[in-house]
Amino acid sequence: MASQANITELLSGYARGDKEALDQLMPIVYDELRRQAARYLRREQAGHTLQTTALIHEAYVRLVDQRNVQWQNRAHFFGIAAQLMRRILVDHARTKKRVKRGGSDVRVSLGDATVAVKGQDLDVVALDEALERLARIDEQQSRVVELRFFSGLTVEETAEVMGISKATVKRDWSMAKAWLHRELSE
Amino acid sequence: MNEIDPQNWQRVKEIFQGALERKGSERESFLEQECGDQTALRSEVESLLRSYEVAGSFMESPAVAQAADTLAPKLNPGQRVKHYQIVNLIGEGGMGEVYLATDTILGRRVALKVLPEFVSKDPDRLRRFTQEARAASRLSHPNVCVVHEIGETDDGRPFIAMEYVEGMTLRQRMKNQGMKLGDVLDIGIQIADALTAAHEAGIVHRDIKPENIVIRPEGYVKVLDFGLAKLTERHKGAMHVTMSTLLFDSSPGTVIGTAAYMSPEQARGVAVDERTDIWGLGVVLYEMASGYPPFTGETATDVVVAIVEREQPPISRHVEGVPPELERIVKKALRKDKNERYQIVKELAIDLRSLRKDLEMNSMLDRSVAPATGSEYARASTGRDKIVETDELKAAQTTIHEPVRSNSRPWLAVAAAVVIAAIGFGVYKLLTRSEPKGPVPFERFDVTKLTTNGISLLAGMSPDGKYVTYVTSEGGKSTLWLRQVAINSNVQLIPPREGRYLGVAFSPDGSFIYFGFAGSDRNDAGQVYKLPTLGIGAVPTRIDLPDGLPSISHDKKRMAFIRYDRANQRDYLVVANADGSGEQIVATRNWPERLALDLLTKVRWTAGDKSLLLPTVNSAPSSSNGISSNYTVAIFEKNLVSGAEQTIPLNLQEFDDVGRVTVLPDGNGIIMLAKAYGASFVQVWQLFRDGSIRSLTNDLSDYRELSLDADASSFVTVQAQVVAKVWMLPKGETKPVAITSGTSRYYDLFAAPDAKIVYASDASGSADIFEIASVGGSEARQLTSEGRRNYAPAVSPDNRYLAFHSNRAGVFQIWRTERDGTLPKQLTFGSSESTWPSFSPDGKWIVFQHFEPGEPFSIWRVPVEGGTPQRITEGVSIRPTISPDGKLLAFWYNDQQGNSSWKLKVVQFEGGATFNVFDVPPPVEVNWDSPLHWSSDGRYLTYVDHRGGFDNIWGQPIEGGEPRQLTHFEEGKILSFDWMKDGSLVASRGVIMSDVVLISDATQ
Repeated sequence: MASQANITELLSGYARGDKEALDQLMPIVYDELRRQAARYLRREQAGHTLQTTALIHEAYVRLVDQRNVQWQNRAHFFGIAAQLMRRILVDHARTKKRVKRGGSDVRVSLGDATVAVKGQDLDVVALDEALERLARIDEQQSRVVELRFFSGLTVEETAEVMGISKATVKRDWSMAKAWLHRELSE
Repeated sequence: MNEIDPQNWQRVKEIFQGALERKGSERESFLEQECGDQTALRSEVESLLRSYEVAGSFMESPAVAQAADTLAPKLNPGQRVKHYQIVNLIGEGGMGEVYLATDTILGRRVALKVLPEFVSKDPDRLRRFTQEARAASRLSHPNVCVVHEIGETDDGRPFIAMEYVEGMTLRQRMKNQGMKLGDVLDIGIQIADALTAAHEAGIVHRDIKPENIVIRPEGYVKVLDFGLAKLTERHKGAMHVTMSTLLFDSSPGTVIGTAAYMSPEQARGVAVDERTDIWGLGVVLYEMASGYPPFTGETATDVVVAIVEREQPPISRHVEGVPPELERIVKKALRKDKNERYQIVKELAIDLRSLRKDLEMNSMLDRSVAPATGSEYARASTGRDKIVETDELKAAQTTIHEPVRSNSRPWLAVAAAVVIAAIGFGVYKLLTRSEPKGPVPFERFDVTKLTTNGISLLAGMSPDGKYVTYVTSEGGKSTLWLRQVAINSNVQLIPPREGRYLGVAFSPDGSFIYFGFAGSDRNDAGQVYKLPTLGIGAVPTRIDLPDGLPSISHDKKRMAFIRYDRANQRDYLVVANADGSGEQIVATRNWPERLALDLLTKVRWTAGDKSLLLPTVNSAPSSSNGISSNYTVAIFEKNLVSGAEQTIPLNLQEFDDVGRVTVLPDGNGIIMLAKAYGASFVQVWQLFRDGSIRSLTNDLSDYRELSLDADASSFVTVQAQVVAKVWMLPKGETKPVAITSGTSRYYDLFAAPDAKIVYASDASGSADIFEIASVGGSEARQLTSEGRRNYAPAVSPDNRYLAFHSNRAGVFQIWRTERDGTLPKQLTFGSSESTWPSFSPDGKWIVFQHFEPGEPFSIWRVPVEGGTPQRITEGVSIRPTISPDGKLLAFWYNDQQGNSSWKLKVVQFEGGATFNVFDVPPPVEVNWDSPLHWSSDGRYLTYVDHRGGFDNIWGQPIEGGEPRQLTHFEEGKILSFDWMKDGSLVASRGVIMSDVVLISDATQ
């Protein structure tokens, strides 16, 4: 199971297209997202963890404390995080819609998520669909959106993860934002 | 939907991006030049440009922030649900969350199960469930968990307050320990007894599964959630599948859930009666005995098919030595046709009892049947609920001198022992491990504050306990100190210098101090140095310390240390001769399991140097129990003679953050720093092999270091507190006066007309509104207590109303109450957020910022008495504030053009005509938390600027001109501020106070 496996191996497994590795990574990533979310709610700054003051702490890392993981893997991690986040939000929004329609067929596709409705979300279902269309024509732009919006990376981090320049990220982001916004307004 | 032409796309992209870099006529001619007469191309680009202009904050706040409510626990410690006060989250899953809570009226602890909102919007169904659960409670059967109350939270989620049962679920029990035949029968009998009582009262459980059965430390079995299935069944006519089944069913990577425990009639969706529980018990017996569920499959559908159509394999297929009588009993309980099953559960109980009696005669009860199912199997498990062995209730109030000892029993250590507690039956056979208990380390202890300067960051204790080395840091410079504990002398080992220390520690023999040091550049990873402990004035030498600190064996011949293999994220336990030769790796762990969280982790040699003891920490979520757990801490024991290794897991309590884990010298437990799940602060914890857990400290600060002397008679730690105070700077004076003494986190200050200071504080977990007098140092008074998060208070000019934003109804909306917090009235509605209310000086309006998906943040107003909100601003605008004369409205503004810098915009409150726009010079960072206030005379717009290295308040003259620095603080961070009517300033300023604390064992 995931907790026994080497995260690096899982990440490279995922890089090779090993579907099972992804399934094993999901809970880890999901857990990390929960942690981030909890911090956000507590108005707490991320980063103050006990692991940051060891003698030379740099050698010991948590999953998100990525200094140590090869960049390639970091990219995969955030890729997974972004995908998962997208999936969570979209599923959640779908459920919400269905509940609103009064259907009895309530399905929530996340074992761990007890779903509460936070209404200010933009229409993520529509966004998801639009993003699908965008991916077909401009994969890079859709990844930029996934990383920036769903994984919460900054422009700099997105550039690093994708191995493209900050300027490119900014340009892609502007364009994708304009395009998606128009798609969603129609 | 626009169909995209791939060839066109590239072209559109180039022109769009080029155009974005240009403005006005330049953009115009660029478009002209690039598009020429291709009108379709040009109109596409222009359409995108228009969309960009109006997109504003669209997608600008990351999804993580938006999903926070979805992902994070809903209730925080300290928060109330009716008269229940949340202690902590102890479990969660598809059917909601379970909290340990205090019943504040009866003073007892309860388990509070809060169900998802969507579970029941059907009052009829809720009523039937309530009836049934109450009826089950009235049974007052020792094996039935008592339900105290069923109610609804303020935000409309049903909750069940029930008896708090300490122990572990049958799922956990099966996972952690092998099951003896005696256990199987004993647990089975008690479940059967509970069901017998329930069935006689006409109550069917409907959802018997290992997650709903809790085994208390002394062996009592409690069956939970009677009637709950009734609440979660789908509508009539549909399949009687529980909600949790659906949840698990579609969850990727999770193999089946409750599906495995469904009876054929439940699977078919036909009428269900007591015999469904008999089936459920049959499944549980099968699984206890064999280690496997009887019906399996890749998907929920496959499982359902197996349940309806296939015969389960005999238990003996999985394990040897199963008594044929047990096979027969289970087989009879698992007849597909309910008319062929046991007809009443009492018959089943009788059969189990006589089997036990027979086996007892033949002393077969100790026979091991199913091995611990362990982690491999756990993936397929469905454990969602979790009952944790937790501290006594008084934990929350414990003072630092009286650690709380949990009274849990040696569950994890009794794998070799059989625990049979035959309730309501004559046989008692209790074979627990003999417990030669010496005094528990730090049962009682003394606390001495070694520093009181508030700037001590790191600390290490010498092995003989005589010295403490620590680091102070001030103004970017750090100093290394040595303190002789007995005589309270402090010696400066290294004078103040630029940079930061990364850690300090004594060498194992105490003769050297090791420290990590890095320059002030954040990217400098640092180096390790050593310095003779008593060589005052000596120059530190740089050393290469690739591994953890070595521990020398008692015979001084060998040493052991931890090595970290960075490339593979792997930890090695290495043993070598004392001179470093003959290195040998004796154990390996892969991330996320670790033998050491840091290089200070100590390896211990047991007496006679036979074994090594050290902590292991696993930071992966355990999907086994359904909790997204955080850190699992264990003692790892490696026998160097036989090569055997053993890992003894210590915590059932989940921790958010764990550090400085140290095995106590007797090997019986560990001491560490940790933040309990959902708690706000890192505390010192002790975990013992017998499963007990206690926190040595319990206060509103974080602990950051933990360094023990060799015999663990004392340790040093660093206690850090955010000491935020509310200060008042009377007009014309230069010396601020503190008006609070607390250590709270004060946000969103508002100077009310009655000279009280109203603020939000979230130090206790939930965020509430408080008020305090601006003079006289009175006690703070809490104005909101409805739970959830309440921020941004404002008081109406006539002092009648209080307004704030709160997510108590789901989404952050503007609420208004009487000045004392009573009679809440919601002023804004809908699914999008409205925040940061501010009253107009005539008391008629509340202005606020509003976020509508796809729109920029904008400013709106709503009548104080309620009514339809009206939009006031276009473009991204946040934190509205109205001038004291009521004529002007100011806010942070971002036109989203070009480089998108923030501006200060002032408009006429009526009509909205622009009065003035000011550039905000860097390094001012504008975000939601950037306070903006008019000075009391209305001449300045004031905000916090960090220019010059310190947080200070600056004022922008509204008639124009350069901003002026209004305060001259030279320390601390300004969290919030406001101006009183008379021109006095109130500000919440925080610093981190951090000091070295010595804790000495006073048990002996």
